Amino acid sequence: MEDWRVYKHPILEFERGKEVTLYLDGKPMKAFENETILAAMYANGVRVFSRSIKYHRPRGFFCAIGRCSSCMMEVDGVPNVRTCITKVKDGMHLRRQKTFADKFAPFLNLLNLSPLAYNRMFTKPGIIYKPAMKIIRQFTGQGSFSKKIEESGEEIMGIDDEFSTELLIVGGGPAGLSAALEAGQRCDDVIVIDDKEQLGGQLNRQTHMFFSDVKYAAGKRGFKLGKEMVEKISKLKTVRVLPKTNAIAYYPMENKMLMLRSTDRGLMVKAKKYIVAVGAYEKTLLFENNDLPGIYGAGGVQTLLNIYGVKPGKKGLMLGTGNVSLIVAYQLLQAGIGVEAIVAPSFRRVSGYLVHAAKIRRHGVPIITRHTILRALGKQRVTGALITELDEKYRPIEGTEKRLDCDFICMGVGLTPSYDLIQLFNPKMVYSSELGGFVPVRDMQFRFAENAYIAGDCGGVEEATTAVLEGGLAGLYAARSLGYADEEVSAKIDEYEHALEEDRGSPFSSDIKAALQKITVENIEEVIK
Amino acid sequence: MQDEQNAAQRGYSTREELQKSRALPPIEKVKEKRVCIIECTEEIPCNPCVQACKFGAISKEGLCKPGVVDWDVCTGCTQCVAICPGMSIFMQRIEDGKGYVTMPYEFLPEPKIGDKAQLLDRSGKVVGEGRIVNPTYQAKGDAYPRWVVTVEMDDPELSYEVRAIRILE
Amino acid sequence: MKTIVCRCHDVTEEDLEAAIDAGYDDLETLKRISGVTTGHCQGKFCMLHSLDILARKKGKKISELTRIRPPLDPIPLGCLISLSKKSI
Ligand SMILES: Cc1cc2nc3c(=O)[nH]c(=O)nc-3n(C[C@H](O)[C@H](O)[C@H](O)COP(=O)(O)OP(=O)(O)OC[C@H]3O[C@@H](n4cnc5c(N)ncnc54)[C@H](O)[C@@H]3O)c2cc1C
Ligand code: FES
Repeated sequence: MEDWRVYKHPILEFERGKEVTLYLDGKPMKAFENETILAAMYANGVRVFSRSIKYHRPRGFFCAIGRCSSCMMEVDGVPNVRTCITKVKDGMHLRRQKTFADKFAPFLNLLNLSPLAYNRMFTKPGIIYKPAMKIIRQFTGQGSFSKKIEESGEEIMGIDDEFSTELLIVGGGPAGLSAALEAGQRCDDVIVIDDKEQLGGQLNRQTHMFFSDVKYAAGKRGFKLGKEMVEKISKLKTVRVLPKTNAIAYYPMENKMLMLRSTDRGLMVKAKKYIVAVGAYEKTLLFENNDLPGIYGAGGVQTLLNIYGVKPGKKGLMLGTGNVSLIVAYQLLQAGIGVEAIVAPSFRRVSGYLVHAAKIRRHGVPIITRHTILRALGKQRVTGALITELDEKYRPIEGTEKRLDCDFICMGVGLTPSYDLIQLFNPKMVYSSELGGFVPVRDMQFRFAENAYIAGDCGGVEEATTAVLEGGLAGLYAARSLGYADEEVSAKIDEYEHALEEDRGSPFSSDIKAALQKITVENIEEVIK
Repeated sequence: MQDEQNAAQRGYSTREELQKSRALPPIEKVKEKRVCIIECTEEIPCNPCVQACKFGAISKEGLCKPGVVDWDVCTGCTQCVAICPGMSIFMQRIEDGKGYVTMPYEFLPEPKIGDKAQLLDRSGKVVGEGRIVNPTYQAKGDAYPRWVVTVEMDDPELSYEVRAIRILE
Repeated sequence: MKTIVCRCHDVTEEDLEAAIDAGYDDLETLKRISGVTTGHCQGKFCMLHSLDILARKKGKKISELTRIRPPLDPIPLGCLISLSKKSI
């Protein structure tokens, strides 16, 4: 069987750990203990992880960060486990959900029932509900519980299920980490949570060197930058870090946040102040067959390739000419994977930096602008793509269709701020295309709700340096309002504000700056009332 | 159609465009010593090259303005090539009728002295074959790990075009 | 050949357009009839597309999100039960 792992990489070394064995539908597979289930299966050539709920279409992974639910499988008897964020264990048994329904797929497709319809069936009379549900779950792909899930008795740093703190920082990307650093030096009790095992957010996947001022991030490779920040925080006694902890609800009336630790422990926190730095989601594109296995988000490819060292395919097609897309194309080349082309409608220019584009052009990758993808080709997985030229009004020009050969398609079409947790704070949300999507109105101190501050990409998609600076500022603003105010704090705030202004000095930032100005108000109380 | 495109649509600047924006060094300098070329023409917030140069040969008017090289001061030490996050700094030299280009290299296989390599221009077209003369591995500090490679080519004119290599095994 | 808007519930672009034509022309009702934005991912990928399609069909600009309700990610009921037991 072909091994899809990258063993030699010009920049990265992969610490895979001990070899272990997994069983997929009873078949043994080689894995390494530091891999996620998804990475291990991918390395073994498995491409289809589940079948979609209604049309029973094959699904591969898409986001690889536990967001899209395309990779759910039954793991050791527990259904709906997201294999992309679950680590392997020796002797683990995996099962594809819904093999039963797949046998009837052609027939079920004719019925064309929506998932909600399945759930409403056989609810009466009560007596048949339970046995009927077992069968229904097989059809909808929600899996079945074969045994009781054990409660985990894990103790976390002496934290009870319910606790309170001065400052809770949600998200451990550059913004959250920087906030923790600044606030931690001043406040008595700061907690940082992140849903990943490793803090660093987007930084962990970036193998390229960063731009900006050498004072902050420039000339460092992203993953090193994240590690450095985490190390500095670990030296602060006032900051407690909770990885693998996902903020899944906020209740403004009680001022409490509900969090899920790992997969099986709920925590309820009450904080005096919150800093929300949850980053951004990837945008996707609509085209025919856009859910075929082999169509990924750029972040998913980066995770698989740069964190686990597993190749997403042999030759890819990149969609989008933003920095993310250009950088991922370069990273694919570095790992010895072909890039057929970069395709995007971009009329005026490639939307990313010219230097990033030049980096891949000189290695022979064409950038096909004024084109878009019409459809992904293939039945069980991607075998190619059909692209077409666009006219000035972004309409396809007939007769210009062209087929490109590739075995995966990667969408790097931009990010949109994570809006969901923010919205639970009841802020005023506005849509801003310059900032990537829905963002809350905030005041000059980044306050967007009664007791919450915003920093980083979730307040408007920008860059790591701005995230670091905004995070630092949010940490300082929060510390100040918690009563830790002195001249040193004010001086530091001045320094950060000045640096932020300078960093936004390029023409690339002028639209962002204007958009930010539009959603910043003097008095936030008036807006959130 | 390809010709009508400007640098920002194409994804790279041509030799002519760079000449116009005075990014390329004068021929006397290239014949006198190894000097650096900054092919970074946009205004982006970035300044590691300015800090990396111990001789103060690179200056920027502000964080976002393009870098300017003083070719009289440049010693060809390659520190800027090693650090540039955009991989857009190169070195050029013409000596004894041969051309030399120094460039950052982040691919496999690892370069060795004497290796043959395909020479690629800014658009990725193979324009000839060259020899690797001086690969140095820069693993210190934050600019970690990156090779800075010098290739020799028989046609000195090519040193204006070659910006990447593919090492032949 | 299908263009999938919502991966969780297999809602296609056609489905949404048909639903909008049938009068479900704001996100609150659209999500109730089609299931879009109500799957496992809670709209992380389909929210913007649904709004785009709505805006395009109705010739209006994107302005409002649907109401977000907790939990944002699936959580085992057992966790909630053990939390509420302890707080009593
Ligand atoms: C491919 C790529 C290349 C880039 N290159 C550059 C570059 O060269 N230079 C540059 O300056 N910038 C670059 N950036 C941008 C930069 O990485 C981001 O702007 C920056 O990481 C944003 O920081 P953040 O802290 O706001 O968000 P993130 O880094 O996204 O961090 C958010 C964190 O919060 C966590 N989280 C989210 N929701 C929850 C929840 N409910 N509960 C708990 N935790 C949660 C996430 O898991 C994540 O770890 C790049 C980005 C990408 C994708
Ligand atoms: S949730 Fe696992 S791939 Fe998206």
